[in-house]
Amino acid sequence: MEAQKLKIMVIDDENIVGKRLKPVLEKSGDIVETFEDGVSALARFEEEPFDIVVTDIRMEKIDGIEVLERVLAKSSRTKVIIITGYATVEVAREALSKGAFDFIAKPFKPADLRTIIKRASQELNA
Amino acid sequence: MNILEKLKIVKHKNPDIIDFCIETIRFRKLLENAQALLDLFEDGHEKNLGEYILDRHYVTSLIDNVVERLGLMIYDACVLAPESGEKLYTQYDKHKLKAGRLFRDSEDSEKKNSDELTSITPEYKLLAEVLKWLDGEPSEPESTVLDFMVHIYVCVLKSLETKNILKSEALFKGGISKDPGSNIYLVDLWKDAFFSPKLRSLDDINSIPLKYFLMDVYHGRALPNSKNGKKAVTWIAAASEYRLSLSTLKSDFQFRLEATASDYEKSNFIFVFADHSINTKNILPAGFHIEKTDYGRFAWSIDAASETIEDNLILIGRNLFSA
Amino acid sequence: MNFNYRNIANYEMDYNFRFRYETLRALLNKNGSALQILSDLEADLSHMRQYDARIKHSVRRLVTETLLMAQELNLLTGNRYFDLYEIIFSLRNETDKLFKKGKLTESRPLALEISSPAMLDPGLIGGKASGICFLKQHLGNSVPDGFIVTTVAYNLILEKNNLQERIRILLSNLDVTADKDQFKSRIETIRRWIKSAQVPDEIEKEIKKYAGLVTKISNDGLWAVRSSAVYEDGMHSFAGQFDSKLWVKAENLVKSYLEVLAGRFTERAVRYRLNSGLHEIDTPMGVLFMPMVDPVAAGVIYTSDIKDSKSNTMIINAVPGIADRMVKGEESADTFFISKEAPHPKLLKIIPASREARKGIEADTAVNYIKTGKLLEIADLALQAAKKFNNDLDIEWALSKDEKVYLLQARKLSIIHPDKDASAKLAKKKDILPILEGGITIFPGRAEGPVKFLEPEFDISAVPEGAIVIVEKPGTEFAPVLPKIAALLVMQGNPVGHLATLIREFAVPAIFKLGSNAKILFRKNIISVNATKRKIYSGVRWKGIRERVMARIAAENRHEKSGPLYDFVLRLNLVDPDASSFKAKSCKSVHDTLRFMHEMSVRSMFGFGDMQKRGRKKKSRKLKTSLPIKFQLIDLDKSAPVNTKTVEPKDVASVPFKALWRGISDKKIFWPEHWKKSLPGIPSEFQESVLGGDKGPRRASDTNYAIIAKDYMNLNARFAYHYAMVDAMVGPGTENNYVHFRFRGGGASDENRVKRAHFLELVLRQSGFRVNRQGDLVTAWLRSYPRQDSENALETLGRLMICASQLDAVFKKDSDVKLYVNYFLKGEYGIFA
Repeated sequence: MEAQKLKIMVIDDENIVGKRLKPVLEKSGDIVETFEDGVSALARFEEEPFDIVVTDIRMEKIDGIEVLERVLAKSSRTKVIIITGYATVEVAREALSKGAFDFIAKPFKPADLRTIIKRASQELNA
Repeated sequence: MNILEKLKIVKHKNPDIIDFCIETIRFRKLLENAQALLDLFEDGHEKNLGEYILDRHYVTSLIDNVVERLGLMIYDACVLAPESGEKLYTQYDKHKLKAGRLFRDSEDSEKKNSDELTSITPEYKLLAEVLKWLDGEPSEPESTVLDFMVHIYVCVLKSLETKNILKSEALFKGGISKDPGSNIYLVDLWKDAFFSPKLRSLDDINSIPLKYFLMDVYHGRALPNSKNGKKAVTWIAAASEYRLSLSTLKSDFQFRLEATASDYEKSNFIFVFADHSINTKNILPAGFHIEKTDYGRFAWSIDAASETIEDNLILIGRNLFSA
Repeated sequence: MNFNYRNIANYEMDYNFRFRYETLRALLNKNGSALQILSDLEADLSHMRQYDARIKHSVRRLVTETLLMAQELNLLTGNRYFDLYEIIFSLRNETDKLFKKGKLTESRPLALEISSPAMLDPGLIGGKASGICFLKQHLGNSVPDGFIVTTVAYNLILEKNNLQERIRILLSNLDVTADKDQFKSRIETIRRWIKSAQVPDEIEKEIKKYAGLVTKISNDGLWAVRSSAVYEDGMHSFAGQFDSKLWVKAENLVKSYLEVLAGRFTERAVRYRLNSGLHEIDTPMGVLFMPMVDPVAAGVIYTSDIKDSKSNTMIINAVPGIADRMVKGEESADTFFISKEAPHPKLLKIIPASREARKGIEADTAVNYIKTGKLLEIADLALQAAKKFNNDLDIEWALSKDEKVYLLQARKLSIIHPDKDASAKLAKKKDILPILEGGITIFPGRAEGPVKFLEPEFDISAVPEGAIVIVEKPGTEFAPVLPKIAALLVMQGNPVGHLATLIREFAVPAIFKLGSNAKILFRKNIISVNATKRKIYSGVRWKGIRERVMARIAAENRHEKSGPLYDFVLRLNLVDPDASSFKAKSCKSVHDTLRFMHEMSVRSMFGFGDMQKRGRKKKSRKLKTSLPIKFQLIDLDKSAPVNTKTVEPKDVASVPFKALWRGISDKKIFWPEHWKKSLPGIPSEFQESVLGGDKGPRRASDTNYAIIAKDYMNLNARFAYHYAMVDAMVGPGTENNYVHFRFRGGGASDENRVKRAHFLELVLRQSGFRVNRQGDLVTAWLRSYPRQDSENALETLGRLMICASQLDAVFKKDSDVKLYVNYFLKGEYGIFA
């Protein structure tokens, strides 16, 4: 099973999220970069598109939906996963219909996110 | 004020049965609210283990949910036991104050620097405080939410017991079905109130938990007397497809069993009350959380898996009735 | 929830008062959850069978909540509504009976051969396939072998790919006419998901297995993969709504399978389902795999002439090669009339396809790709089939290179008897000649309306209701307009094919093959069409036709959801609280009882004040305002100053009420002067209730009353014949916040009320609410949002209620609705006055 290294971007204004997720996701050999705001994350994305973007839905300057739109505009194959605080249906609907791959609600276990990422990478490699 | 005593029954043949059915359903609602509270506790504990990524919002919503749910449970209790109403609400208000303080603490901690070099993040610290309030080791007696819940059970059961004594004569006359030669009165929870109950045997009622409960002990005739060799005991069982509510009607001890056994596992549970003349160790299988009070013991199942519930029911039935 | 526990005021409250308050709150709380369960139930029924465990569980939970609410209501009112218990217990028993009937499926096959034994369940294989299976049974050799991948497989794929929930999320709250882009992108997303779905191994295996078993007709080994949706070819023909894949190589069968499944979610197909009142679940799909017949000729045969059922003739349409383009309306066919009279079918006449359609062939050349003998053979087979089906049929046939006749599809044909009045005497204007005559009647009847020419790429919201639409060719892309137009005129094109079938199904008067002269109609504004006699007139010709047409259209669009679960649980019968029929005894469904109890519980608060101890006056008080609105306030926890006779809005400390009031009193809303003057012809009672005159309310329902507490409000408002209810809980937290809104407008025609409701629906959705609209009743929720968002939502509601009540008789077209939505969202409230 040849799994290519994924480039994963994590965006959440609570820095604890990135700190917790990074080691867990890196365990499978993927490359992870974390950001605490949408602006710097998108700037980095401009330089180099990532395979997977995990972003919180509600952040201050740029929110998750905007991140989703900008990421997909730049790289349509990137899989975007949304972290929601309150898992309301409206949020899910908007995200899914705009092309998000899936969403996960806080609180969640990092391992659960990893499962979603795995599914996303299967689609990437299909 | 006890509205329930002022029932204006004009035309119904079985007023006490209507009353009894609604009361049973209300008590069941109380237990559901209690179960929801216990689930909240469990969820908090699980998140507290440290594996989760969570935010302050989780903890504050936990507090909010607990206060709300507790309020619902107390309301049910007041309907069932109006004489305890004032006392219960006063105590509830105290808990609300405590919750308010925890909430304010959380706001304060947010203002503090988030790059404080502690190994425990503020969210987890707050969560620990909340859990202490919920079901931790109490600093004063009866100050946790769990203690309060047990206290509520006591008030309600005392009230139900009193009512049952008043009603039992009426029920004997009232035409609830009775298996000839048996010592158990059967009520079809959703039918008998308005559709004249027929004389029926235990086989006629379609209730999954009842079937499991009686699996080892009922062989087509009467139920044997209870194990403790006491005087003739009469039971009353209200049942529906997935629910069973069983309690002693005429006896010198008090026992109550509430169970849900369905294919929808989230709602499965078993709840038992036994006064001190019964040794619950002889009746209950493992896997029950037990709370002791002066009035008696309360127990509820921890595992809600269908198979476990079914096995537990068989066991309890057997233990309770085998000669 | 209860008082704001974070700042408990230090006042005493006697226990009785508290218990009443808590009882009311408990009841209202349960009402909120119950409405939520109702809404979820309705959504679930769109993708679950009604005997599914989850439905049962939901319904039971709902009934239990309702029963406890009844107890609470009786606690509030001294047992005044004891009758409710019997009703609720009986509703529980009725619903229990429903659940006993359906059994969940035992192991059901993922795929089947067409030649499998009889009585196959159309719910398993779909309408088209069950028609073919039946044919195969009785006319064996004339039907090619083939196999079907069942609806079980379809459901399995959705389940394994986690698609049920996601599709449901995207399809819920979908308004097909309003936001075309939104609709399009969501449908595209669903198609994408399906095409890239993982097909479980077991399904792939079955496909390969059966593909190997079926005997091939031609040596190429190519396949036709076609949809067979449940309900297709039954009452709803779905003609042409799904894609078929032809000439498919064996190695591409699985891929084509997914493509055909994805075809279920084309815009056409979804619109069709929604217009026909079908829910998502009712139309799962089977897929039919049949080997390709490489035909020398193919076409359709109708075992009776629909236009003239007494003529005892059959009609065959044929083209050389495959019939695919013909049925799509893209190619013209030769038409053959065959007599059914004894002893044998006989060819009566031939109408060749038009010169324009087929190049290089002259009109009256004998048709050379199919012999008369073969035509009669087809006719004979078709008659046999019709006998077996005991119904007239529309059958697709093909003639293979080795001269064998195959029947490929059979649909029941309904002969609709045209409107009797169509042959009535002409109106007095006998001397006015039709401006256009001719063509072929596809469906008879008369109609009148404005002319609208449509290109294939058209915007459906630009088509007015009741229009007479003219198109060049009969493509299936025009299907979505059928439910809302008065008549359809087609310039070219054969009377066969999918669009024709749909026209008959929707009973739209239609004429085909009018010719390019029809262009003169473009200059007209209103025309009258007699599709039976194929005559078109300028202007209005017959009285009463327009009303009848509009009624037909309205009936089309009011598709009644039905079934015992709707009857006992979901349907709201009790709508007008002022009607004398608004009684406990009139409650027929759970929804009725909820409505009833909510209304009665809030009304009971009026008597609230009288039950208090002496010295503590807890009566309702008037809200002091210069706006022409009358409000009575009941204050539960001293959210308003205690000792005043009237209360000023600025002194009310209720968070949700303040937010709502900010909206209502928004300075940008224009309260027209003339509301304050007397309006001719309007009864003074109307003015009273709206303008708050000096005479007190004559009925409890004349006043707008609001129950307030620090975090809570409940408002029941009536103004200008509208009814609005707002129930909201907004605290500093988030989890338990909610805003519920209900609105039913009055004082306008049915059509305008629905449009107004539609306007509300769109605005509410854009403002973040979940919305449910039943006719002219709008219900909306916003749950578990932070305080600020909840307050904003309430402000919007305040403005919306006022603007909506000013909206009478404004909408002329559907597009007007969207226009006003935009005005509102942009803050241009002046336009509403």
